[in-house]
Amino acid sequence: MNRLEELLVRWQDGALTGGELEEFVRLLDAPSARAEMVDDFFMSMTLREILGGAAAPALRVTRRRTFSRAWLLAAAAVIAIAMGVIFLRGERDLATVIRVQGTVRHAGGGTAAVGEEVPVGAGLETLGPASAASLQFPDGTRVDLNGSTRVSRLDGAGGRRIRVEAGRVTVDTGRPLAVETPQGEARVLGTRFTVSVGAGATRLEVNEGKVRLTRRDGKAVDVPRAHFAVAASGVELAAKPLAPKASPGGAFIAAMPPKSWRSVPGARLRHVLPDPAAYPRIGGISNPRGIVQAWSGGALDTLRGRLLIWGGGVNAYQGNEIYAFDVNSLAWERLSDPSPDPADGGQINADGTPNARATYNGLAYVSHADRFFALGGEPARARRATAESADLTWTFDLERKQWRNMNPAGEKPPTYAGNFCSYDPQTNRVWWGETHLSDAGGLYSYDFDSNRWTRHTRERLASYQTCTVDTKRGLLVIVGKGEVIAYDLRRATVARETWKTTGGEKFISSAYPGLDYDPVADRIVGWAGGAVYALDVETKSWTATDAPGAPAPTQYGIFGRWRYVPGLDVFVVVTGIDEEVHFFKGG
Amino acid sequence: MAEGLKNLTARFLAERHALMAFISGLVRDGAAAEDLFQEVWLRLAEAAERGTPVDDLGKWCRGVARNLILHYWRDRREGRIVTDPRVLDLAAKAFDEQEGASRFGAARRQALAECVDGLPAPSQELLRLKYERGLTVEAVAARVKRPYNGIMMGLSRIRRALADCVQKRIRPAEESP
Repeated sequence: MNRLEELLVRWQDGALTGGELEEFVRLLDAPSARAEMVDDFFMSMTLREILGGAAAPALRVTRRRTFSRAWLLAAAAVIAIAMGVIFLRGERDLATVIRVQGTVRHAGGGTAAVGEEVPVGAGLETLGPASAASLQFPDGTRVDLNGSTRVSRLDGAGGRRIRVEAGRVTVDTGRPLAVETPQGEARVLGTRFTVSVGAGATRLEVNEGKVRLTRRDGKAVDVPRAHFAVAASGVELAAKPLAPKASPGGAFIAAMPPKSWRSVPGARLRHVLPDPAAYPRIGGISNPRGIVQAWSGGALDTLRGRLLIWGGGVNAYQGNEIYAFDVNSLAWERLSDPSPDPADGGQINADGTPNARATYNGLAYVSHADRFFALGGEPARARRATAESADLTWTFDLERKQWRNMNPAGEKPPTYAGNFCSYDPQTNRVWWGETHLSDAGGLYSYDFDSNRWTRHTRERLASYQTCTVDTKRGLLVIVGKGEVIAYDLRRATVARETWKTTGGEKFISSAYPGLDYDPVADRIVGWAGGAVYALDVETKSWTATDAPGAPAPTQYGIFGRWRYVPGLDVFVVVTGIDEEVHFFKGG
Repeated sequence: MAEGLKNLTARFLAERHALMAFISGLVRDGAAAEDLFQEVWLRLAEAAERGTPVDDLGKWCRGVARNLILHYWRDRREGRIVTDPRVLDLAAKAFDEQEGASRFGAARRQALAECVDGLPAPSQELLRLKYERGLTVEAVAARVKRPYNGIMMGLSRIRRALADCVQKRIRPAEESP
């Protein structure tokens, strides 16, 4: 198989990496390569027609246009005579199983596996709370089934109607699609939403766009972004904001005036630390203040509204437990217990979990898979002078509360410390800035679904920076050490763009600032102590808001412990285990 | 108008396989490719009604298709699929360079169908997974529990065997649009 042939297949699969795309373009400079491309396109098309029953190219006459109908009908008649028949396009009637976790069965029986097809009329079921599955339709529509979920049938042309009997599904689509439940129907045109079906009730949560929820009695309501509605007998059918203000966190934040700081009384991580007496082997270096202070970050679990904190390591703290601050209940929780027998400078503990580490900006929440992602940082060392490079890719299942060493394929970043990453819900990837001083520096991305790393650029990236994704424009924006850098993640070939911004010199010169995107205000918002800075991406200008009540910043940086909370439209920040959690509300 | 329409339609039909190969090879989504193909025809019909002269119909249709594909990629916000306008331009150039539409003729298509029928069952199954069900090589590998590189090699061998088979079955004189 020659290289061009291989790249043509990968082009058709939509799988070319940035480097491969450049190579593909270079090869196509030769006339013989272009001739091979034509042959490839022709053979692929013809094989689809021969094997898939796809209609040979023919003409439809159903479009409404401004030119004369008589002319069009005449044209159609001529074509019909010429070809014998006017074909009408048939939708492809198959969805493909692209992810299986735990036990997943076809509705008609039989265990489902990745790569299998689910035809119209059939369904899929995840057994138990820890199971999950994802279906992909030929048009790119994706349906994620959470645990204990039963999709009884895919219906309509191309499976554009899904019947959910129980459980929770998330739909990401760019085309009209209806989700039917025992209590009603959600109909959508291009958005991302979640439908949960319980006993006698269906709950719809809309993450993007707008969805119409129609109850069985015919009453309907349009549910906009960041709202939910419930279809059930005796319950008012109305769109309500997610994270209702009735929750303690919702009420607390609703009472905050614009452009203000407020601390949560008594909300200190220290209250949920493990009992040190139960973990004698982590006694050597047991300063839990290192969980936050020792160059450590966090990520926001957007599904549950929790700021996840994981850190420590180096010569500060050997416990590898994860903490979560719930912004709705305003309470801290320890999600896992420390490993009882931690490694000394190694990456993996005796129980198979990752060693505690200074996590820097190597943490992210992979929302479509509901996983906490971790890579890089400096592992804990009690007696050794140095620690191993933390180059293993880990995810933490937030339902099962289990770590997994992903052992991914592809070109992995070598990592050590000082890297940065952010999850992009559009590409479903964690984008990783590798600051390693070797030739391995550059931009990478990790795809959880295929468990594969892809390298996109080869370049020197600076440490001391933090990044976030502007989800409106698909931009990865990196700030720190005097730079503002952007990569357009929607482009086939991502390329570094250095921005000249105004008004934020003090902020962008900070090390490891807090940084996140506020989609409501459409601003990149950062904090490194003192004033909060908001970047208008269109004008490239920063605006500072120096409100009273800000906490003292953490000595070595804020990292991912500054996060925007969707639904509540507020920023949350953790600056130390003995400091109260703070909220900042924008203008 | 009737004579003009007849001629235009005949010319478009002669180009249809090449045009569809161009669109589907770049769009990589069967349904979307068909939509764009129809859109090209409608634009051509509009042009004909306005009396716009169309000399090189294949090139004219590819030019329209090129713009439609760019819009399609932009609407899909790229990212999800690998796209690059340079590939689009190179593909347009590649199709411009081909001699007429003979390589897309009915005889060649018929020969390809017969050659597929003559393949061993495992090869046919591999082709079905790839082209009937539209799976990526990665998904095919997962489905048949074989390594990715093995599937790539297998598909390459099959496609070369098909190309040889087609070549043996047809003579240039038998080619027809």
